[in-house]
Amino acid sequence: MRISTQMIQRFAVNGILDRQTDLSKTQQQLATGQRILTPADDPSGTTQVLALKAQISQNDQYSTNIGRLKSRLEGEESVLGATGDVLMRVRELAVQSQNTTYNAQARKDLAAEVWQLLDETVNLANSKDGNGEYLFSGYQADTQPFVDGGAGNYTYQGDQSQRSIQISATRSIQSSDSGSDIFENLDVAAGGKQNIFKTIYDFATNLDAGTTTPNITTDLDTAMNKVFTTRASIGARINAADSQDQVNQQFAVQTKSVLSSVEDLDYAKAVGDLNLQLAGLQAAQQAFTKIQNLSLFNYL
Amino acid sequence: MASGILGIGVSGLLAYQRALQTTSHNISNANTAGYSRQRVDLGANTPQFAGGGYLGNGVSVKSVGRVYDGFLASQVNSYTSSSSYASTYSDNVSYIDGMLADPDVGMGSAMQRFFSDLQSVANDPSSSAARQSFFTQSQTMIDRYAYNYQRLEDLRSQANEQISSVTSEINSLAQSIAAINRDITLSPGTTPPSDLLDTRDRLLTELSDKVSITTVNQDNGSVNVFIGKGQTLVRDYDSYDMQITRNEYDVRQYEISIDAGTGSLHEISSQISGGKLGALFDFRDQVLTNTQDSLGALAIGFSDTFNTQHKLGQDLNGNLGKGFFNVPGLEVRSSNANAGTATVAATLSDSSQLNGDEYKLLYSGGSYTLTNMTDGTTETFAGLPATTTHGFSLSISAGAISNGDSFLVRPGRRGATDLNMNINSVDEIAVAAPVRTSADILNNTGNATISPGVVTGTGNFQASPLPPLSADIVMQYDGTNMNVISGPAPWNGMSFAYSDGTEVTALTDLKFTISGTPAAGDQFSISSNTNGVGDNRNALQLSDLQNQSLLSGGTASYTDFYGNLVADVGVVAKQAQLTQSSQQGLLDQAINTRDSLSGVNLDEEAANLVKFQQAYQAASQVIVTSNNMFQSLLSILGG
Repeated sequence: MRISTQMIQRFAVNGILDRQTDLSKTQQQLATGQRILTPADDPSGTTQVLALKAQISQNDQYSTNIGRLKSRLEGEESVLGATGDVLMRVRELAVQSQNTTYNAQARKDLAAEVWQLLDETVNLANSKDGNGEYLFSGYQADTQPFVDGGAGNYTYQGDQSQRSIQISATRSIQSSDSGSDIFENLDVAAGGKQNIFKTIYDFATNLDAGTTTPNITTDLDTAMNKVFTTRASIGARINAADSQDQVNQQFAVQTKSVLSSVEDLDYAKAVGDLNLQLAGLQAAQQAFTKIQNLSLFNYL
Repeated sequence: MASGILGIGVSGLLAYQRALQTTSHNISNANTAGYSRQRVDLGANTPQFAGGGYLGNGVSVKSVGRVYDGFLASQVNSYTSSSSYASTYSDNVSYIDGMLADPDVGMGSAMQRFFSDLQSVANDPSSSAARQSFFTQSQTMIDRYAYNYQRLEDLRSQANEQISSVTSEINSLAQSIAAINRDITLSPGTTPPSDLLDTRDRLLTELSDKVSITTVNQDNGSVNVFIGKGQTLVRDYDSYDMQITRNEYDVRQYEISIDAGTGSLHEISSQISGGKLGALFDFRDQVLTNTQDSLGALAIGFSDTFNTQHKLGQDLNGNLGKGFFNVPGLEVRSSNANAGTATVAATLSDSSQLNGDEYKLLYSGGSYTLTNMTDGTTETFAGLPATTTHGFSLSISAGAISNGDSFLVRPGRRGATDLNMNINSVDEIAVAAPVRTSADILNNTGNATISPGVVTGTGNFQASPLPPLSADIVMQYDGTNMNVISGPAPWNGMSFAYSDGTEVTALTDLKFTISGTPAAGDQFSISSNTNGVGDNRNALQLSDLQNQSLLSGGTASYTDFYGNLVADVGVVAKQAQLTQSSQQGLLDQAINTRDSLSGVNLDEEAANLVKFQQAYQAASQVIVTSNNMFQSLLSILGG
């Protein structure tokens, strides 16, 4: 084939330009650590990357949610723990008061502490969490759950609802318990239902009068049982959240590794490519300078 | 005799002088674009009869011509068109390609943050900090939509500007070609001047770079140039200007029309192919339009589905949720050729059916035909209003329709820029549900419990005066059925058979579950969620939207829809890059084949220089010899 002088020039220059383009792409990949620089590099890979990133972001959020859930449940758990202690002390006093050796005066002496324990129980039932929300008023987080109506009538202002927090795409866990269920939904030995505050109030009133209260220990046991079962349920929920957290973390590790295999650069291969391309570019440049010097005119 | 030798010597001198001149011309033009090397054709002069035979009569230049093959030249032109098309197209597509996946610019990250912040609100429904952060992120996401719209719109106006400037370049090239046609036709001599032919070929290649052309050589030496489907651009000495006209539906959209001497303009945009111009039209009307419309369809589908759930909630002030976003309207444009005055409106009817397609609505012969411009499918309506299968309905909002009127429906076009917030304050985020449930635990003797429940519609709730339920809905168990024994209409008197743990949908607009064993006489109630600031049920439902397939006819989530949009552009961009490099290869090949024949090789010219120089010197020697012969004759006479 006949070759024109322009073709010689063009072949050489195009060769150098092509190699520079390849080199620049490899260099960009190495600099960013990413195999896919624009969707055009791998359209289906890009769709996968978008979906995986959305999953990872969602999963991160579930981890945050689990943290929030646990802090709420742990807060509630410690309040109920304290409530249990208070009720235990009331029960001790109840047992003492029923001691046949106790006379009326001895019972009156116990009353002061019981009144104080009643206040404490009401305060605990009206506890707030770190955000200033009442723990036990259901959805009505700004409404004080138990209000003293006088004469031992503590009325519940909240509702029976329990808030849930999402801890995975398919699972949510209750992050609160209704005060109505814990403190009000209590069967009493005398029949019917009565809240714990009224029970303690009546007990204290009787002590003031120097008399015993029938069934008081049974009723306190019912209330303590309720507190314990609620605590057990909270514990179970915290465990569930922990195990879901592990599942989530494992999922995050897997998802990130899939993402990395789709998106990230194979450095060994890229560095190998880079060396090859560099060698190619040098060869093209050297060939150009050699050929440029050749001309018949040099010999005329 | 001697005069014969002298004459032959002189003829050689003259011929080789021309040959040297041509060689020098070739050497000088070794780097001239489009130059074809020239060659002197030498021929022996007519011999002279001299008794016993014919005696040679020297040499003369028969012609000076270029080494040229018209087929190779036309191949270069055709590959120039396709290569320039591919590179213009690829360059333009790569702008969108890079923009969509950029984590700082694309929609993916903005939507993820939107839903993350929504979860934070669900975690702390009454926290104004969490609400504020979500509110701000919503605004950021809207801004991101608008930003991307603006970037695409900028690309559109750039494409329009380029169409305009390429068109004027084409016009000026056409004028030059027509002028050279005249010069070539009118030049004296039998062989046309090579350099003018080269110049015209170069102009034709330049023209091919702008748009795909076909050429026809005329007997008189001119070349006629056609574009599109045989539209004349150059005929003999005349060129016909292409003019920028405006799209009938959208004045900001440039089109190209031509007047081929008939006195009226014909729009030929759709016939333009190849070259920069073809690429600009294809980019603007296909990839760009589709991306812009799809992004808008996503904004519309997303805001519509989000609003639907948001309206089922209750805000911090106890009001029923209103639309979170203002769902963008669907754009319909009337043709400027319409004889009637009708304005057609398109209204969203089913956002899951919406995509990036555009439609042409034609009123003809008393009925309406809606043609999908992407796949060509049609739908016919006897009259408007009518609901289409594409997720919107059409109606005439004003004026009267006239036969032949047409409209362009592009539902998603403005979606990304018209999206904005409908709620004004963080209190209006409807995080709670409007009702809550309870069992009458102090009196019930059974152990049945009722789930918190959700609302599925708010048609029967009163927005004002609050609360949404004027009285509690109270259900009582009679041993078999749950009967609503008191409550507002329409619920009062409703009844359903009790089934442990089965979701109850029998009560209008409500959904809940009662499980356990109720005793006869047990009561359960559903009441307004007054003061329910700690309720997050609606926020949970809203955040679950991201996991549902609400778009593309129920097959794609928000992320899927966006992912498909990005992949579509990616596929086009990848294809364009591959085409570009293959077309470039073909063009290089064509140029090499042409240059292999027509290009100047300096070594070859150097050899020719030596060859012709020697021949010239030899011819000089012939004259010297002739002179010597004459001198020797004179000396005999003189002696």
